[in-house]
Amino acid sequence: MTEQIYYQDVMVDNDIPSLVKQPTTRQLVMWAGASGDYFAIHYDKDFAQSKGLPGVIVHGQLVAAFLGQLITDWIGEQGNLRKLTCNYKGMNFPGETITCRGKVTKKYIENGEHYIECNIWAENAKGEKTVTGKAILTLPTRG
Amino acid sequence: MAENPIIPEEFKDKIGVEWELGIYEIEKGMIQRFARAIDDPNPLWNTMAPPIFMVTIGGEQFGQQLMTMLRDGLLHGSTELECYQPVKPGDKITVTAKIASIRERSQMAFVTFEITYTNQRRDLVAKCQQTMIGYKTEKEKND
Repeated sequence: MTEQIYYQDVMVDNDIPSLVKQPTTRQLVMWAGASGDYFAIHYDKDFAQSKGLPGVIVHGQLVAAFLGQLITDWIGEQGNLRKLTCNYKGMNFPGETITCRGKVTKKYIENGEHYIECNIWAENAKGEKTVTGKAILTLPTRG
Repeated sequence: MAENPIIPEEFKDKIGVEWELGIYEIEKGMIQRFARAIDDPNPLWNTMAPPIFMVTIGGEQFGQQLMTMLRDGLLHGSTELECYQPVKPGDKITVTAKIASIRERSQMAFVTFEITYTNQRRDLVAKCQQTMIGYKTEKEKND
């Protein structure tokens, strides 16, 4: 396990350690089963093309789950993810490398809790941001 | 010209009306299946659900209802999830949904749903806004 990160350790403009994923069609099937999202654009190429798409696309919420993992990996056991926003701007395709990244934008104390806000995004191999969003989380303090 | 709306009129009358998607007992296996699907080995998920797990509770029922509403092209626009309490195996989560807004623009409809998750102690554990985009596929446009 990674070491616990504390509020004092985090500075505005810090980068969150990135998380790289490469979802295969198999992973899309696993996500469909786990999430109940059986919409055929995620497994049936002909169906996806009949809907005007280039082919099977990765579930937006699977990428949202990757971005959730980006945060929970970083904040450790004592951190709490309070809010996650994801805007699905572009499509990801199976087999593509998806890199999840984040940057701290704000830190503040409210009602005795220590908040961090970050911009988060997922980018493809071309560097295009396919999902962008924001995370709000709380961290423990040192001492 | 035959009117073929992206979203049938009947749903516009339902804005703000809440309905229950179902009551779901959270089992350890559901959480493990979720963690495996996103390939997240964090040992925390042996005892509690990752925050993004919430969006999968009632996901299948939500997806089925969505497809009766937006029958042609359908894409995910955004997800905004707020988590107030962790969810653990054994929790019984009641999921309710309502249409918060419908915006139509040229050949597209943006439908925002507000979904709430309440546990067996009637505590609100999470809230999620999901925006779905309905669009006309090329084939239908030419009809």
